[in-house]
Amino acid sequence: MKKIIIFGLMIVACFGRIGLADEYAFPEIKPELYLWGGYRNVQLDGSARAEEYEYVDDSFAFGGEFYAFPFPHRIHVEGEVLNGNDYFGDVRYAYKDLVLFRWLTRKLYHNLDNITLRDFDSAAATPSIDIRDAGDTYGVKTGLDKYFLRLKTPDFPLHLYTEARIFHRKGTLQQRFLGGSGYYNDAAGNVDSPERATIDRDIHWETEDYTIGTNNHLGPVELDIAHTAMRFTPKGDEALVEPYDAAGFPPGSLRAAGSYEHNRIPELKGYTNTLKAHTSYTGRIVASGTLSNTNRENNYSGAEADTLVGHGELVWMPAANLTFFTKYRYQATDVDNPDSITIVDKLNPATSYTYTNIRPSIDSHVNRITGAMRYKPLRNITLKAECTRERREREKSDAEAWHLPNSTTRDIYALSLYSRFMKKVKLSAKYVYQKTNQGNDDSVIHYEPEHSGQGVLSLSWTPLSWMTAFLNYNFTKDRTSHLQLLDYYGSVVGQATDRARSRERLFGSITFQLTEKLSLSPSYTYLYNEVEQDLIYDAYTSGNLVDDGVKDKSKVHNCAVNVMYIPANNLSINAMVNYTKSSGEFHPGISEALNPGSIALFSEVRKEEIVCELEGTYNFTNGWDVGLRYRYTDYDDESFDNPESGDCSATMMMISKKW
Amino acid sequence: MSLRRTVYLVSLLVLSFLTILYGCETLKKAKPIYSIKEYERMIVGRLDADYVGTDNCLKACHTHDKIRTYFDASTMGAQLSSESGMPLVDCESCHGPGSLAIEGITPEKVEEDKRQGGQTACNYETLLDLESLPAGAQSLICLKCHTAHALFNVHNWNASEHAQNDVSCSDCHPVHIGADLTTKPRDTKQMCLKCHQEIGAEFSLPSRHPVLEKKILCTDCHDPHGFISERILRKTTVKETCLQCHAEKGGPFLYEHADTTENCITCHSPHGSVNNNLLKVREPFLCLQCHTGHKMNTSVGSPSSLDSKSAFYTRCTDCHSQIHGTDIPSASGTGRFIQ
Repeated sequence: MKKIIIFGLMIVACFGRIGLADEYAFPEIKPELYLWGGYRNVQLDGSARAEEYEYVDDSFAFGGEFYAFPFPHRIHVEGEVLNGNDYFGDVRYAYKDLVLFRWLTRKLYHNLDNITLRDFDSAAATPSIDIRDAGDTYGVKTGLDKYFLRLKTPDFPLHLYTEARIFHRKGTLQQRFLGGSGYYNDAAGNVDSPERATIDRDIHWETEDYTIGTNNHLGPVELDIAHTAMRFTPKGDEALVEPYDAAGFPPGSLRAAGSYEHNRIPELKGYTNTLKAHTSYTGRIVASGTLSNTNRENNYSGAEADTLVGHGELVWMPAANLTFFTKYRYQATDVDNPDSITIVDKLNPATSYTYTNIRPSIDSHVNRITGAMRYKPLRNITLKAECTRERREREKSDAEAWHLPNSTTRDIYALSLYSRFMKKVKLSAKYVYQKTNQGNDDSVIHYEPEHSGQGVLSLSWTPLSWMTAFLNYNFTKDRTSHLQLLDYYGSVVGQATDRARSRERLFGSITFQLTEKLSLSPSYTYLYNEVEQDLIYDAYTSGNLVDDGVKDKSKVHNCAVNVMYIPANNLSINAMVNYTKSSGEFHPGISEALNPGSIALFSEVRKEEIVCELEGTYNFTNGWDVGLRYRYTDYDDESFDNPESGDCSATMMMISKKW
Repeated sequence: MSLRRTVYLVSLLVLSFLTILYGCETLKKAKPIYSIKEYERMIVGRLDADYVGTDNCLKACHTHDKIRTYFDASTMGAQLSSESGMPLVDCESCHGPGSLAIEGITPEKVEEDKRQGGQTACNYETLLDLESLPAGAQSLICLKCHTAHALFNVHNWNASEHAQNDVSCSDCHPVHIGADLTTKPRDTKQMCLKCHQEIGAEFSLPSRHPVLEKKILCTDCHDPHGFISERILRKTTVKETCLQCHAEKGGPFLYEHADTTENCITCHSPHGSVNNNLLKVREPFLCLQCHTGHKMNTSVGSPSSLDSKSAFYTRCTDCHSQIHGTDIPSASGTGRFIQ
């Protein structure tokens, strides 16, 4: 017994703490509070599309920040409320390093389009339109709440955490759909005469993610395990119901006239399990691995998708100027859908139809391996070379059902240079070449480009201490040969075409620090996208109508100027003007597409937008400030179809105080 | 059971118990596989200098009082050593040993210099020249402690695009700017667009995510510390990232749009676009790239009317409204995304 007691004391002496350290006295830090309040006046003339993400109504507004450090507690609150549909909040609490809590909340209002279908010949009965939402205005409140709680064990790096993410959208939007017979022949049986309709739809969609996880430091390895449960719930109009006529259906169609659902948004649920492990970051060799399994299930139809992703990275730095990176990724997608679906006549539930002609969803797996080397031959030059091979393999029967290649292999090569070859000049350049092999089988469709090249050049130059210039040029070109299209019946047309795409982007900006209190930053952006491809249209005559070399072009010019001015120590002014001119159209060539009017007319885009912002603050000596925020938007839409022009100004006067 | 055997068993039990205890004690200690000698040499600091503690660094003058206050109020200030009860992280943890920097500086000297209208400067050149260090070494100053970052944010940092392109922790984390040590969520746009200026212009296009308006943040979709998906997106795939907000488009559906919907950027340009709904190319041309168009002429061979053309060649999704996938068959009994 005596020996046991002595032995126990020895253990305590080895691992117990003899005496207690003096308690650390945290400094006294006074809390800080900043509050502001004001009134926001909004004037809208024309379409609310002028301010797509603003709630265009007058409102009182307020906000502020609060910091307090009653150690060992730490509190931080920040918020800005423009109105009930537009606000931001950030609440943080910490207790030592043991408890960390955060709540981030945001809401915005999204003004949506009411697209008016056009009838070019009201005297003709077909094709017809059915506008059931004339004059309606649409908008959706969109909100996101994130909650995070982390607990740590004292003096041991074991963490438990939980996170919740709730995203919701509520409001009314437009639903466009095919009415009449639900077929592109109209109810009277006229061929190629759809009956298009528009209607309002109430939505209340909520996406919830809940995560629980833990991580721990186990010697040379750190480990993290997390489980996330997800649910998407569509309240409001989950589905619409429409009385469909039978006439106009194709011969042999299963369904008779009746009231059937359309545009259903299903309830979804799922989960993700993730395992992460990595070595210490201070090692010459650093490795990390991630394994993630995601499951998604459609509660309405029973379709289910599983995605398994495995990813590993290895970084080896044999010398300070030489680093090798290796990444490997495996992704397997397994989608199951039921073999049949039964639909019910809503007015006569005893009547139902079962369809079995359902194509299987596509299972596939992807292997991707990347090797990169970064070398710094000189202090101011960095060279990087990267090589990736990716192979996607589709389940053979699925690929055949969809006329897709069984496998696609991509090889990507990238070279980049970063240099500070002069003290005031920084240059970076990168070129990426991608080659895709999908086979040359013309019985399948190849929608990925076989050859693609992308180049980026950036230059930053400070010729004078008060001037900095930045230039960026980016181009992408790709080509798809043996391109096949699908016809109306979902079969391959069998007439190979080519597609060539190019994209250019040029950005330039200069910043002038004219004086200590005045800076000016103009910038210019040019974007150009072009796609050239042979198009094929169905024809009544034998064969198809082929339109060779049709180009689709989009172009953007954007100019912006930012000014920051501090005319006095207690007065600061920021101003910004941003002008964007956009256009887009495509150019068919065959006479059938150009007469009696070009089909390109319906989709052409011509828009100009001017945004002006002015913000100023005047500080009084007693801690009070007054401020002004002004924003003006002029949105000029000259597109042929549904032009939505408008202008909007929002002025907010504020008064604030800091304690 | 013999006495000998009993003693052996008890000894084994005790030894196992002691081993477990010792193992638990050492679990929290970092054990790097190898050391990056070159970078570690750069951040050690002057070997002829001693550590003096924050109080000694700052007691003579008050220039950095505010920084010290912010630091003490931060997460790092809250980390106390269980043995000494003192902060685990202080000025010298990052700036190197400070004895040479404060050599010869006394409160009396500071007062005297102040009386003469000047300011006493410490010999800061003996501290680490953090700004001149290569990005990897700058990051190592943070990573030597943040290897077990509680949020696992830096799990993929070393092989990430930012790390490969010599972005260091201090490029985005202004450690001395306040007690928060991170950029405020709504200021991330300014921070990201400082380097990615050309991306900012895409957010001025007619159809866009409202990033410039600070209603959507770059970090809603991208993880600047790196992740396993392309373009350092937040989730394992492009689709999962978009479904964070657009779950109604994700399915899985009974009738899928082949596997084009596996990657949203097949059709969409997520930053901004000239075309509605962030489409890369407008309808109908977008759809005509893979599908033949509806009949362009009549049964007698003449061009179809303008009315008919507008019905088929304005927006395909006027009729094919469930283009991302649907659970309801179309009137023809197949999955044409009409219902």
